[in-house]
Amino acid sequence: MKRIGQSVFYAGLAAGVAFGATLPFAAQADWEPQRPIEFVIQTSPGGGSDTYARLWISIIDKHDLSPVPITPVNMPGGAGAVAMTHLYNQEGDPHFITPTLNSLITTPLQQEIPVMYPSEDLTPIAKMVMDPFLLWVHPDNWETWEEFHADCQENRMTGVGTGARQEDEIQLALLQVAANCESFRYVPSAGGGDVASAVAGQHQDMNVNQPAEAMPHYPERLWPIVAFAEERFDAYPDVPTHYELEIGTDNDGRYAELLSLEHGVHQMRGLIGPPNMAPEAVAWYEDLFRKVWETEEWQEFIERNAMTPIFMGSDEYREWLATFEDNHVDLMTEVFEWELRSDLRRR
Amino acid sequence: MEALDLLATGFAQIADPTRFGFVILGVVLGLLVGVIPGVGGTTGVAILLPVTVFLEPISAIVMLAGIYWGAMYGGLITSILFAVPGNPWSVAVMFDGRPMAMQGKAALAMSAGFVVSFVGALIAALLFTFFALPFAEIALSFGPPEMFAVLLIAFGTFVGLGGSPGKAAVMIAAGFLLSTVGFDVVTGQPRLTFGTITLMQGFHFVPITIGLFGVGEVLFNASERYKVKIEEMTRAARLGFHDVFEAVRAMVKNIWMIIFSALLGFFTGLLPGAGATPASFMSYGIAQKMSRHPEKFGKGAIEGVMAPEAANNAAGTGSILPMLVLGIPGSPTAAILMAGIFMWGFIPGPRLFVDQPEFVWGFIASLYVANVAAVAICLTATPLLAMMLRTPYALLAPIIIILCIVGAYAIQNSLLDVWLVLIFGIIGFVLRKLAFPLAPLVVALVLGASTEQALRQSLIMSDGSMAIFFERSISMPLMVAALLLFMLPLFQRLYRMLRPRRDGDQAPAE
Amino acid sequence: MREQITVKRVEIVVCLLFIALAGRVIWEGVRLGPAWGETGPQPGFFPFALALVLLAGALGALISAARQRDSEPFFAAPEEWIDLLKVGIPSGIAIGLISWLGLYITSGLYVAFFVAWYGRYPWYLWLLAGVVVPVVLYALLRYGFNISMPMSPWYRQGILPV
Repeated sequence: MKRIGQSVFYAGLAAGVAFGATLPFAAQADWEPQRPIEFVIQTSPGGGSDTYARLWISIIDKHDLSPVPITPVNMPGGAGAVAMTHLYNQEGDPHFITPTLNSLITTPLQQEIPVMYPSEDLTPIAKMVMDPFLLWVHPDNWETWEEFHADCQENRMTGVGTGARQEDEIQLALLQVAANCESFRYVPSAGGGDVASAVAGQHQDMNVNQPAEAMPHYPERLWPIVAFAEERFDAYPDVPTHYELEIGTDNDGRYAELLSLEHGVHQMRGLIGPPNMAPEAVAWYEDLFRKVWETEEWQEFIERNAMTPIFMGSDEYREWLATFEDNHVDLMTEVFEWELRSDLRRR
Repeated sequence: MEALDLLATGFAQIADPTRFGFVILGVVLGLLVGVIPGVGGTTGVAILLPVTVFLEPISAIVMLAGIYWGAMYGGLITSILFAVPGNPWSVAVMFDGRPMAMQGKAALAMSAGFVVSFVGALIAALLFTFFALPFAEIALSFGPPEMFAVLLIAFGTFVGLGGSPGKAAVMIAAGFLLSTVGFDVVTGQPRLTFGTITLMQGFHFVPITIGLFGVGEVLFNASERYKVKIEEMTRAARLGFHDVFEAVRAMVKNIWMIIFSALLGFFTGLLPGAGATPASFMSYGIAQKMSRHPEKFGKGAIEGVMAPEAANNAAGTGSILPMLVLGIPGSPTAAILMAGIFMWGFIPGPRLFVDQPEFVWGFIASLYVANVAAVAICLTATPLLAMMLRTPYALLAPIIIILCIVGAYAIQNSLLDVWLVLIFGIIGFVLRKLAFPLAPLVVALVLGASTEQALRQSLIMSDGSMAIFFERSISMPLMVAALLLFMLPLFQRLYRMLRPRRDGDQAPAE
Repeated sequence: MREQITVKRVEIVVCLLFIALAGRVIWEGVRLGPAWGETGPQPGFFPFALALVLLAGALGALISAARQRDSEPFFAAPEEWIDLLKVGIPSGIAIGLISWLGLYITSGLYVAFFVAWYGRYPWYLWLLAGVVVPVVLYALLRYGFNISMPMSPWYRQGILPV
């Protein structure tokens, strides 16, 4: 299993290098930033996407990839609403970029801010990695999904996740529907680290941490019982996927697909710019972040944290985002019947 | 002692001149960012994290630790000198530090703060060294109900802190209300934003405290200038190192209070999400309640400077511990340090102690080294810092205002926060003249949101039953303690009513 | 004029403002759901309950203010009022200017003006202060720590570095 994963990884890497070497040369020299780039970050220092932004900045600095400095600008608040609105107001000025995470999708579907669908209203630049979800429990409580599943059909379980009405809650709610459990309680918490320790300390029953967040407690206090992906992860070869466990595979497997890494729910770490960025500027950023993606530092980081290496350029990312957004609208309106923003334009 | 051997290896790691240089560089940088209000430790460590990522890991972590400690020490400087608190945990030290500065005792207040910070950090570092693993387990056993109980205790220590009850109620309610603006923690819907996007960011306590205290103080002093001029009053004070000796003497006199504050701070720091801020408020409140002269607090009591400083520096160490041992970030700064550890390719947690003993013990040893360096640098610089108060008013006033603006803007890059500084500056000036107590407002603003969150998380867990607070073995005694604290003023009144004559010679506490 | 503004009157106005604020928040709390639901307080509970405390406290303070007999002036001496405005107005204008001119230009103008006008220092001193303060800020914030600060419109157009 591991070898296959690795060879796929190297093939992908080689393809990425070849791709990077041929395509963007034409557009490369057409635009260059004239003043420092502002990296508008939607969390406080130390938050999830802040860490990624600062890591990218340090890689860019180390390899001297940008002619101008990149300044991190934290605009926390409103689950990304403030940062997104700020980015939206910089229409056409390519000196602003924002790291993406899933609140980029969930927040504008629920709050009445100028951005509704980032794939249309903002300019996707690149996707740097897919950060997978696993279902984690305390090993003293359950060791396998089968044990957990039997229990959850009898009792109400308590899940914990980051924020309210955001990705963790969506993933847990979807799991509950797909696996026919008694309705979960959901405890909103402040961040990945708190979420992990709430389960590790046995205050809550389960979470859907990303591997990096759960790693400090693995395997004594946190134990993965489901991998939400089509294939098992290299880092956790013994953890079955939800396809193997047949979670949500009935009804044409619609829920299973939504739970899955490739097309469904996961943390997307990438970059997005303001509306109407010039194509030359998009090409410049795409090239910059492709170079970042190819560095040894980033590849090591991906591997160490059991993430799925994938690079998407601007057009590919835009298409992928559009599907991702539609899936979210379906889920939130039809499956959970949550109230979305009143002026939602359906596509 | 195994821990001693390991600590010795840690010191051996830092003995390397390059690494030692990085610790000192970190302390100096930390002091610099700590002096910019609002930037402080968290942002300071975040700003310098990218610089350190590709250093060799031990140099990187000891440098970040140096920054962290430097910023912890630096935070109290602007609090005492200009009433501009740089960090949430530097608010409590201002309550008495600023009045001391106004009486020409700025150097003494700062020296006392530095010396006590060092003692607090040292006590915490010793606990860290010898009992890291068992203490980390404590952090894990605190869930939302326990957190709620701790936060209630923090509020309880501030009950009856002074002012008329009506005005105190107004201030607590107003501070708490400000903290509820933004997104509702459970349903994610906007609250009290009145349809604007800007208000979704909520009210951060930094611009508000900077406005209420920093700008409010500038305005207040301006209006008093026809009778009192600070620069003339401070000119009378003799500067030198005699203040250090006096600070040490005051510390020895209050050593039990300081040890208690440090222990309280260390344990509060261990708890994820609590950290140094409630610790500093709690120990201030308790020091006042235990004091023989509670009426002197808020008017320049040196105990009021020492208690919160001992607590917050101990809490600073305490909040690192669960991060390193269990991967639980106890504070925003710890979260950034943890991100750094991930970036260097390590995973915090019990295995780090086994797999990377040099890294872990080098880091622990750096706690000692950085603190010694920080206290030495700070005490040497104290006379110079105190001289800043002699700057001509025409230059000092605009510089303080500019520092206030920089700090308020840096926290979330919002121009609204800059306006808030002005608005709350005016509000602070007016309320102060009308004898509304400002401290309860800040306490409620800083702790309000987490209190509401802990309460609501607990009640989701229990399907709405309040019994959850009294069923769990840790939260039950804490809740009882909190409730007793709230009733303490009542008991005191009762006690005085039952024994009316005998205590007549003592000054009434209220 | 100064004699008209008494502590008592200011206190009454402040209490009335608090009462108005409480009223507005109570309204918002009711909209959000002020009750104690099945799983604890609803979103509006805390705003609602706190606004009630605010209301009660402000009413209490209002009553005790209204009962006050003495009405000493809010500003004890005319100098108080004048000195306050001399410091307060330039500071207020500076804070307003930041949105337009950015931090660095504003701080230079503000410091230079204040040193010259309030301190009555000779021209070379106010000029020096007006240059040194923004340059030190720029070196520390922009170069040293890479912290973003508000900039002037000319920064965007590439005309000025600030």
